[in-house]
Amino acid sequence: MTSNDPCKAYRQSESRFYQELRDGAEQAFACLYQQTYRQCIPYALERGTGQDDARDLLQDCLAIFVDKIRDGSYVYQEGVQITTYFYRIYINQWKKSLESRSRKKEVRLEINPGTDDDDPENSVSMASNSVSRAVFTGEDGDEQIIDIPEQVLEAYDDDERNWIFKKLHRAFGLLAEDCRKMLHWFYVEDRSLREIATELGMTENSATVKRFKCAKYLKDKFHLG
Amino acid sequence: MELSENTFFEIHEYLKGNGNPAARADFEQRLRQDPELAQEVRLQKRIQSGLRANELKKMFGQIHEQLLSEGLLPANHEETKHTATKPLPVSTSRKLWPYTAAAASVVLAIGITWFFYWSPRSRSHIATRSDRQVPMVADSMSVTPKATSPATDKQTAHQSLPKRQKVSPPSAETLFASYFSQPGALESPFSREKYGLSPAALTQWRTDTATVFRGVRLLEEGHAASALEELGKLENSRYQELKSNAAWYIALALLRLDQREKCRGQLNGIVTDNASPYRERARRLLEQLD
Repeated sequence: MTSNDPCKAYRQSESRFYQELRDGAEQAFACLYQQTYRQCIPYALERGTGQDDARDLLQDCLAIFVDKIRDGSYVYQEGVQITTYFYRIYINQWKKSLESRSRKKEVRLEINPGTDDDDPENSVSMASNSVSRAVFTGEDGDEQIIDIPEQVLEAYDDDERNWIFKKLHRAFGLLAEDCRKMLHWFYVEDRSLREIATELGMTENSATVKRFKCAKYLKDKFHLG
Repeated sequence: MELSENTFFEIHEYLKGNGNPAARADFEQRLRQDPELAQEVRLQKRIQSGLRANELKKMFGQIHEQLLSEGLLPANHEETKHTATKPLPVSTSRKLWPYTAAAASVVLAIGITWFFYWSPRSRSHIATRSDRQVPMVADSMSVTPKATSPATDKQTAHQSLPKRQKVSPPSAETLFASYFSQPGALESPFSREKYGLSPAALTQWRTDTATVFRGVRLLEEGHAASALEELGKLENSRYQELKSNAAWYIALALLRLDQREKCRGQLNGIVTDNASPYRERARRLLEQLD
């Protein structure tokens, strides 16, 4: 089974890897997952994040990343490995996740190592870009201090992750079955109205109206705007 | 902004890249002049990207399961840490070197001893030597009288094996061991020219593939009943190759559970399935079971 290496076809050509990710080739997705899993998960685990959270973060980031590849927002640059680029995204997102853990008092974020831990001013926002270390306190009271590398302080948007995987996902799940189908075919599968109408056994006009009503309901009812 | 049906249609035509250059330029002009419209376009694009990302996340979840079941991902984080990030420090490996060398020497000595005294080739040789009538260690596989002449020994050694084969047919465990092997690469049923056209079908295929591998893994680890349950989920799979694989491993699971009658029934089904790549193996196994 181990001979079933999903990355075998891409070792010689990074641009082919990118092209097949853009085309949605399964093998390319499996390779991307395997590579990034091995790179990213140890990073988070060694810094106090649980296995499930680390994996969840990886899958969220990969989903957003692949969507960006496919809609053309991310374009491959010669000489920059795709997985290396993604690794930076992952670290950034991991850092951002510290902020929410900080709010839950699971971790303390500090500006300067060596300052008084009780000083409330040391509990700062990651958005300030001034955080240089995080302090995790275990159940037994032991502290684990993790330095945060400077090179990953570029801007990123954790709100997008929450919006997609929490707010939108939840709202979509609360729609009626027929609306979910309709919007899935329309937004995700990009099916034509004719196909959708045939699938639902209605006229194209009725399908047009239904599609609009479902989309409007999703937006208004769940305050997605 | 109160979204109208017409505006909704226009937005999506624009996002899909439809329309002639003049119409698109007009729409872009409106976007520059109407911030609410621009905001609505951003929102529609965000919803579309978000729903697609949610689908992709599901797909990566499936990929995770599949790679894990194929042994292509570390099974737990400890393993991840060791394989990916924590090479053994040089100082530690140096400290361990004498112990490793000692352990290797012991293993080597045992291996050499086994080779000269217990390998099948040397056993027949031993049987002909008059000074080795009694084995150094009792052989649990054959009953050898303690004091017999070399000639009798030789005779016993040559005659006992065929006799035993005649008396007892191969055990289910033996047959299982000789027929079980990992499935080969499972080909995607989707055309390479139509990448990702149907995410739902792709997801289903991935789920079914992961189920095959999970079942095989359970079987390999000795959990035949659980494997049977897992593989049974593929009875109605729409993917022929996966169904054929599941059918074969179900037969092996039944064999491992020593349910010979059920196993025969399952194998008969495989033999009559023209699409199954396991037909020949099933036919041979049936003969041995009979």
